[in-house]
Amino acid sequence: MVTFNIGSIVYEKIKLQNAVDSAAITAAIWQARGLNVISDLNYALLAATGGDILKAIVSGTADMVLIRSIQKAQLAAQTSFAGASALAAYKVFKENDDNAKCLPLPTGLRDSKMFSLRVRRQYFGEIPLHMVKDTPNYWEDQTRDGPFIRLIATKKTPSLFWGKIIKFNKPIIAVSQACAFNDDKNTSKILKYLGGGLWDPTFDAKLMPISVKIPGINGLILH
Amino acid sequence: MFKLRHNNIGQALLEFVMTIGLFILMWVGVSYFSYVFVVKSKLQMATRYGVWLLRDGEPSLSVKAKVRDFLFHTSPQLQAGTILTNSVISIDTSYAKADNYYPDFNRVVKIKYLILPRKILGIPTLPVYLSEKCIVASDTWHYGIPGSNSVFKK
Repeated sequence: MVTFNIGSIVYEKIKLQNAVDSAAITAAIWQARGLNVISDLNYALLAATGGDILKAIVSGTADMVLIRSIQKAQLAAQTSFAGASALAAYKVFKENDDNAKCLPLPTGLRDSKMFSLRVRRQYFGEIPLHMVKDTPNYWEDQTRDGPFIRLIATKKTPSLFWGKIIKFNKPIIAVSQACAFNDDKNTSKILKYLGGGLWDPTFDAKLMPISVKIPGINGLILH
Repeated sequence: MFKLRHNNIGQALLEFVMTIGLFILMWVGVSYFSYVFVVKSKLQMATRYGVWLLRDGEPSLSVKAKVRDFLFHTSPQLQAGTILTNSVISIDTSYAKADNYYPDFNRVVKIKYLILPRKILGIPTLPVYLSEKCIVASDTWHYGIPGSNSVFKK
């Protein structure tokens, strides 16, 4: 019975790790999509104003209807892609492993907005301009070039045959971390027009190594 | 009166013959179920491998070939030295079904595997049908840097 249970536990652990990895990378991909869309719209703003948004608005030569429309689209992308990130992660996790639970795993206050794109509107006085990184230090921390996702998944230990008598009481736990990253090779071309905090629409997502020690579970280090 | 003779000669041999068949059946059963778990775990790893290849932009045909190679030529190999006599495998790499929540931007790898074991002591055993899948998002909507526009070439 122990042999059967161990085989089943190993299988369930692999399945749970796959599910949480897929959920994390999916959430990071949705964040990358949002950042790419917002960056594309930044470029559109720049193109619509001839390369200098502030100068075009102040001088009155800008098409304000077009500029407001692009800015509204950026705002919609900022909010909806964060929600899509969380929803897609949940859906993919459930499709990969229906019998488990998955939650975000923040490690500090600044991680509380786990699925947020962490971008904000740049203002000059009260004039709204393009979108920039909300917290540049957060982006650059731990070699992160963007927001990141950290998820934890748990599952009951499977029980076969007499498994209710001979079983492991600890749940199966898996942790995964993914981030959207960017190479930013072309940003310098627009930096001279708009200042810092910009990025190129070249975001992709990758898994990051993680090692977490959970209080209450003695000596358990998860990868 | 007929008197029973107390003779223990052959008792151990008789008990051995009576129990050895049961032990062989148990051994074969345990081996078979262990192999099923190994195959399930291997299929799960293969789906993950395949879907990650798809996510990185690998074509479907290449992914199928690499997943087959992973299944049959990396340890533990599925058809080498096992109790299998025949197996059927099919690999499906496609887009996940679209629904109201997200469009069809997610890639899925499904692997179906049928284990057909040999007869054990002339008794046919049931085939085991295994199916695993893994789903992940794949497209980051990166269609190139719009910096090639003449506005940015100053």
